[in-house]
Amino acid sequence: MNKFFRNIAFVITVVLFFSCGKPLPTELVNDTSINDQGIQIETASPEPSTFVYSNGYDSTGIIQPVTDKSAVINVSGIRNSIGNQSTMISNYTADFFDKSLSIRNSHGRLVGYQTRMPGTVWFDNIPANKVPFRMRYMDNGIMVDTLLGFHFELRGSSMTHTHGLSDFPYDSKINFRLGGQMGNHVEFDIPTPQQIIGHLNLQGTRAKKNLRVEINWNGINSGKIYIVIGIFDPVKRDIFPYYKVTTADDGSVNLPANLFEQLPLQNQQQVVVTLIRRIEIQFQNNQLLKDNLIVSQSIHNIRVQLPN
Amino acid sequence: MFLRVFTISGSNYRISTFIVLFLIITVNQFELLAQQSYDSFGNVQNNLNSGFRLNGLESNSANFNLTRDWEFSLTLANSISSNADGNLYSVSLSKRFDSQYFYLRYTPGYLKQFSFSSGIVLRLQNDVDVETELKTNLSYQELFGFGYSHNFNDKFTAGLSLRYFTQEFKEEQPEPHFSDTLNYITTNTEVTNNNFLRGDVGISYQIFEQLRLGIFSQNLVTIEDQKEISEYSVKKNKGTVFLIDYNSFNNFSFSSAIETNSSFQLGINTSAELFGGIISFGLNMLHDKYQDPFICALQPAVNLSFSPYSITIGATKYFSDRTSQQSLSKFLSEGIYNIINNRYSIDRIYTSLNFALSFSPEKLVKMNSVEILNEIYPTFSEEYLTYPIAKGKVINISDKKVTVKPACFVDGVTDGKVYSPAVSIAPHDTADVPFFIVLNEKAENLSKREIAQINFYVTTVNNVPDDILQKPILVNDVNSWDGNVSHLRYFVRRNLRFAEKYAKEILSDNRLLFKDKPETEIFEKAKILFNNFVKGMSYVADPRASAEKVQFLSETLQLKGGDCDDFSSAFSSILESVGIQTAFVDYKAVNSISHVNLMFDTELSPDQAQLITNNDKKYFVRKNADGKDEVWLPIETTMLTNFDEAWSRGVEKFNKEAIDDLGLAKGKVEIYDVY
Repeated sequence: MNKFFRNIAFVITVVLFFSCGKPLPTELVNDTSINDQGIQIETASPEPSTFVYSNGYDSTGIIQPVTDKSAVINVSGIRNSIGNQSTMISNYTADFFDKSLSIRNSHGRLVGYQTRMPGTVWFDNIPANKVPFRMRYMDNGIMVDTLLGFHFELRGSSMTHTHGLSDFPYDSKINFRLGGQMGNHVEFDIPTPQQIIGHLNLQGTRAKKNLRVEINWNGINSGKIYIVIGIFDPVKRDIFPYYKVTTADDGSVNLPANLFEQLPLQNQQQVVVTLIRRIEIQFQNNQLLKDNLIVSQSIHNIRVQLPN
Repeated sequence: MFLRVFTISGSNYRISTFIVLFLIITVNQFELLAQQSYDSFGNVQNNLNSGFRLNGLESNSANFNLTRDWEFSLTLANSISSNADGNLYSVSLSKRFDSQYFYLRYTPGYLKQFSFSSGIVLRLQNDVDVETELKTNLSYQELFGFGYSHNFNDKFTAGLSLRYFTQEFKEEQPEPHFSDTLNYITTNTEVTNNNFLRGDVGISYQIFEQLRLGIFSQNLVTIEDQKEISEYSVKKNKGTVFLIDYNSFNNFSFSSAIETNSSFQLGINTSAELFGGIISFGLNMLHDKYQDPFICALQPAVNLSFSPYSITIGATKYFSDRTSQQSLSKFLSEGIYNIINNRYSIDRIYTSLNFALSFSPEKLVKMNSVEILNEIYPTFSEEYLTYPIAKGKVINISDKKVTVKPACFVDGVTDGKVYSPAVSIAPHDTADVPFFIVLNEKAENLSKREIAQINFYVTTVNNVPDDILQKPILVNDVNSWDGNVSHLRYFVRRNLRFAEKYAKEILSDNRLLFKDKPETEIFEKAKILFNNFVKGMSYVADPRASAEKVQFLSETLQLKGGDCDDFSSAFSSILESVGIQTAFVDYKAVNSISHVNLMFDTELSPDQAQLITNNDKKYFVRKNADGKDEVWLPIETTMLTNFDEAWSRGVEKFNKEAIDDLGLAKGKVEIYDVY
């Protein structure tokens, strides 16, 4: 019997010597209908000690606090949904920055530029209002509210029917005209995207760690869409964005559950999922409109209470 | 319920209940399952070679095994790809205690892993392109297996197996971090384990000596360690597998496993002796419902068993492309049913080393002694088909009746083992077992005497002998004769074609001599043939101190000489070749001198004898096959003058020694018909 076990020991030694490898795993190509185009997730508010990312409940979807452009023209059709009720908002703005007049915090960090008013702006032949343009930023833990100057704005709501702008012309165009003080002017059409309408499919609960959130919308394969996930504070009536997701406009996305599970939700706070279908164009530079970014967006804010 | 019934042996009623219950359960489980009876070495393992590992739980769920002692087995696996990834595949240890068999194995190589991207890219820091893709890794492994079987009798075996599987699913997830100063996302790996235990039962029944049937369950019982089963978990549909094993007598084996979803495998195996060991070859083909093409893989295997080691090299070759990238959506929708055989399995080579105290099954019989009845005479090859070359005394040392298959092998003389008719022996009884041989062509023409070793085998349950005994034996040359006159017929029969040509040429030249004598035609022909045969012949005795030798006709004609047995067998060949019946007359030894001559049948009735002679003492009347009396003429073939003198001398000797001295009655003279 001893010889038997001696032989076994010998054989095991020899075999182990020649068998130190391991089979390689089989690589599977992710061709699932959901997530097949690739999803990019990033934090939407990386520097809360410097910038104020909240921009009111009626989010324009532009989270980037500092733009490097001299002119930003933004036309947005915004749909806000809470439960089964929705309201519609149209928001048209034109911001002209004087990049020679920068605003910096006490640490010298660039937080914005002062604005300038190059003339008069019309959206679909409706003159835009010149309204004060304020910005907020954080400086040594203190929120600083500063006036950058004026900018052009038109705002309409299905609640107020202001200026007859409640019906945003989705999948169409909006005429933009900038009349200069010297009598010169720039005029062009801004194409608008098809309206994005989404809904959330929630399963499980945060407590049980089995939450599944499927976001669906009327996908049209127009390219990419953006999804911003934030928390709505009912006291401040403000949304703080936490994640920005870029995905294909294919109608559906499954996001990892722990993105939602780890949101710092407090009492009465709700999650807002913002779907953004966006068209970005650049108008040819000229004397009036230099270094411009022209954005038209369909935005759908969906406010929900996550199941606990 | 199963276990309770199962462990109570000796009760036919309980066994029947067990079988009926098993069939009811398994027949009601006609669900889909993939080729789960897949075994790394195919269906090559069989009863032809007990050293060929019999103990895989996949293709032997009944766990039937003949090995009677400790057995240890190690298997290595290598994928056939550019990456060298050899790994330890399985380690097993088994032991049989009387009718109970236990088997334990560790299978680190029963492993399959998958990796895929979740399709999510994390930007770890804004404004800086640091991106990471979230991956998911799935790992399936069968770690341990336990088998138990019980041999209720030499035909019926039932067994069960328990197998432990681990499943680990690692999914990378985004891990957000929020603070007053900085928000960022990192990655975190979430691990889900879905381990489970699988239990199956199987039965095996030997219908008759060559045919064994088996039936066993697939996933009969599965016990999960988690309530929630992951979507990635291996599919565990229930099913049934039917096994059919057929072993032919000439060392061929056919085996098949048919699953209830129409997946099947077919195998053919053969074994042969090699340098004192056993070499086995096998080829198995697989059809799996979930794999393409129809025959999705071939499994060749070769095994070499030299006690106490057994080495097996096997391979699995798939026919569909396994190198291209595989679809995640298909994986998620269909899953896998088997860890080591699925649509993602790649070609592999397996090397198995078995080490056992003994690969031999339990000995049921023992050979006490063997008596060699005669030396081997190549010319008597026909004789060995009827009469054994040796006789052995075999003892049944078991408590049950056994059937013994005797066999013997003489190196260079027989082509492999020659099996003799089986003999049944009662418990603790002894029986005489005959051993027959069949000479090969080389031995039938041996020109030189030699000593060879004859191996005697007695086998009971499978093809591994229970006992072997070896003895030397003299193999004579082709002219050797044992002195038994009746055996001269074999020298006659072997030279008939030459004799026919020789006789017909002579008769053709002399046809006028018997043309118009139909009644005496045979007589006349014999006379013509004898007179021609003896022309120039002279009597030459065998050399002294040598074995008895007999020349064939061609040799006698060439040498122009011989002794009584040479002339008698030669002239018998001539007559028999033209249809004249002959018989040898054996004059037994008197004062150490024996003699043989010939008589032939004239086919004349005693009434017709006057056509050839008026002397009624010159012939001998014998009955033919129809009981009719016919006239036979004794010929002294050593009388090399002419036919009449040979006849006269033959009659004279026959009348004196066979008739007058009552030689025939006393057994001192005997007549042996050539046919």
